[in-house]
Amino acid sequence: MLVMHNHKKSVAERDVMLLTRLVRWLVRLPRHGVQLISTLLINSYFFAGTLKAIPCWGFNCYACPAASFACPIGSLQHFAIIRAIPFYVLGVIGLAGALWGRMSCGWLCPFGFLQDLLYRVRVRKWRLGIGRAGHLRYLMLIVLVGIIPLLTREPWFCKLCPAGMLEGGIPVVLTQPSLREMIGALYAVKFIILAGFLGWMLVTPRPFCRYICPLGAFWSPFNRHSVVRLEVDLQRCTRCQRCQRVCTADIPVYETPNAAACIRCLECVRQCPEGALHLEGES
Amino acid sequence: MKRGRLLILLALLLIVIGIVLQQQWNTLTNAVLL
Repeated sequence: MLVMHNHKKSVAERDVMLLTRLVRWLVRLPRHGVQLISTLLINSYFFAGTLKAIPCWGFNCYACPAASFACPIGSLQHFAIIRAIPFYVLGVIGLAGALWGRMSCGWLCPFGFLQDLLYRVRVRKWRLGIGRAGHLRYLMLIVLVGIIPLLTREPWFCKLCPAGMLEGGIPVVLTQPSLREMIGALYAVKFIILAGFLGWMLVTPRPFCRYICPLGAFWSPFNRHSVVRLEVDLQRCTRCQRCQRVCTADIPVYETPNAAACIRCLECVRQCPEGALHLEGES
Repeated sequence: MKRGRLLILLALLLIVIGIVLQQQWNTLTNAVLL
């Protein structure tokens, strides 16, 4: 019995080591390249018929004419509207969180990719700390994705979502002229919200992820408990704070390597001069 | 059992329950977009 127990333990540890090695290999690839491939796959059009049954591991409107996967936030609202527990959706996005926390935000999310690209535009930047304003995303998740659809039977986050406007609202109206007569005040409101965010994305890194994204809010608590996590080698760390300077969320990574606001872009790991930061599997 | 692995098991269990219950959803209608 003792031998069986040790054998089972080592199989689980081998799985964790394999996952960690796979993730470490993936993160050697250029992050924007991975983001581009992910964006194209999520919006690959030709597989839209079957893959819409799977919530994607990123924020992408499934009203986009090219979208292949379902938006997890739209799907959660659907279950709030019909007053059912979204076992399947929670399981799929929970699996991503349990595996690697918010790493999907940093590597797979198409809307995150857009924010990264816009921030590279050379304009004056406005670095903001996150602070308590970061809690707003939890409010979005609970109120706008949960309570309000439950009470009103309408997907109110989708009605205001800038990603939905960019990927669904605008392309759908362009490709289906007959829908243009349906445009009303809500369309204008969404357009203004989108325009505001696009402008903000030029000057602040990842503002949507920091303050609004309900999917990021769902994944945030997983950062501390996921199988693959960031670790700091305190022997090597000199507290030079370079990790904090390069961090899109302005996190002092040497102090809180698995902070809820961390999108696990791993820029800190790449840029640490002492090599004190690394991904580690659950030991 | 470590927390991460427990969460993975829980997530897989939720997926199985959802598939058994044949959960599905509607994609957005145009009325929501406009």
